[in-house]
Amino acid sequence: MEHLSDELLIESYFKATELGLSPDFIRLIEKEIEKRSLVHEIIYSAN
Amino acid sequence: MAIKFIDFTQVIENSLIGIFILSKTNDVIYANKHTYDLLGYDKKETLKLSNILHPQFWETCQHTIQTVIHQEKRMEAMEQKLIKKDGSILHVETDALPYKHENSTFAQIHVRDISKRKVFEKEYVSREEEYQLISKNTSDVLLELSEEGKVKYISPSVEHVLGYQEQDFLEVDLLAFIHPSDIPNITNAINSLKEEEEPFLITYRVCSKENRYIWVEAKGKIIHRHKEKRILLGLRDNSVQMETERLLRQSEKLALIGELSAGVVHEIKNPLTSIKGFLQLMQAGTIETKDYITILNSEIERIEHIANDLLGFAKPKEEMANLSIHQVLDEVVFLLNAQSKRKNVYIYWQKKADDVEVLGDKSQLKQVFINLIKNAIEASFEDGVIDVSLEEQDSFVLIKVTDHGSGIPKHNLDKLGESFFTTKKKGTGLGLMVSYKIINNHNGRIHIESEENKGTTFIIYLPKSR
Repeated sequence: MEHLSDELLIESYFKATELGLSPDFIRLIEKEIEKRSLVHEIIYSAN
Repeated sequence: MAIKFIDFTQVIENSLIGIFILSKTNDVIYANKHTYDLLGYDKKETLKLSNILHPQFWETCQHTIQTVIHQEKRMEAMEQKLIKKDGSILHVETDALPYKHENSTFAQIHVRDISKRKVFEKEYVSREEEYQLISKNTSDVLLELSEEGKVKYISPSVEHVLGYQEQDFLEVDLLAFIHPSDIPNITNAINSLKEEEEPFLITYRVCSKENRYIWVEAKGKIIHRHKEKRILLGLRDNSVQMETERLLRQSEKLALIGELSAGVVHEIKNPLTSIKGFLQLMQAGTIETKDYITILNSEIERIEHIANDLLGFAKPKEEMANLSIHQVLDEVVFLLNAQSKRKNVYIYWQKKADDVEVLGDKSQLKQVFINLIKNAIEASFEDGVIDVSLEEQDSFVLIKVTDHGSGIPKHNLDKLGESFFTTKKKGTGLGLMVSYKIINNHNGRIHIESEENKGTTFIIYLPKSR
């Protein structure tokens, strides 16, 4: 997961939720987003 | 006061050797008091040779008497049996010499009672038989070595235990029969025995006559014999015990793998979830596929790594090799991270600037470290830290595993490592015992420091390889 760029990570997050992929997978991406302190990105984009 | 005349009749009569004179015709012409006493007769009675001589000796005796009388020769020290008046048998030693009187020659016989000596001899023979019986059939082999290591004595049981004859060993260097990997061990043990005279107990492999290596347990100590320092070794076939220990190690290892597997499966599940998720994203086609290739690769590598680690540990192969302590601990810590994460415990593995090598069995040493670190995780509180560090001390490397849990009460500290002692609900009490055995076999030791409510440190001493 750490090999993804920030941009791709965020994009993957939205695509995954959009496609309704497994919650485990989405949780993994969320954890990585937290780790990189990018949480504001999703909140911001979601708005 | 000088005596001009000595009464030899009195001297002979009172002598404490039986003396009697025989004629050509076997008549007892004279016998002194001691002869009568020995045979239990009264002085007034007449002695007859045919009554007092054991029939078994009649012929040789006749021959002797004839030789003495006709050839006037002395016949010395023969063992014979006489018959006492009460019918019992008297063991004697006799000399015979000619006694000349005027123109006739007689035989003068001297008789010494040797029945006591006979009893001793009999006892000696039966002792010797007992000794032979024991030393041939016992499963222990006794060896006496000179200070240079040459075999000076080996008990006959060597044939029974190893198939050799005693001569195969005598004056040979003991090391010639020992497994090459065990030679440094023995040399060390014998050297320190010579210096400190402290008895030792070691196990090693000896080559049998059929070229098969047999595990033996040997006790050694110094003895002083014939004004020389000798090394006394007692060997005992130990292969059954070694096999039992191997099986115990193996079953404890399997138990350990079972306990680790939950963490390992968890560790494999995450990368799998990630691979599956990204594959689905790729399938949806919204994102450039090649962007995801690296991540798939790295997730697969993680799975591979942990699978290899577990497999490498589970392998039943046992062999000694030079090992990098850094590498062994890297692998162990990686494997146990899966375990510690679930409790949110962090393993802080602090390498030394320089790696250290030890001679050992990788799988066995990993088993010890996994066991100790796993115990440390169990002893830790949530969010705790475990310190793993290295130190060097003379010819030893020290591996320290410290937890900051509740510590071990003093009254339990001595019982650690005893079989079946456990404080865990589901413990068998064998894990630590196996660890002690493994470290012992590597000529190391385990030292424990513990303080209640502060934590416990296990220190493993292992000899560095040279």
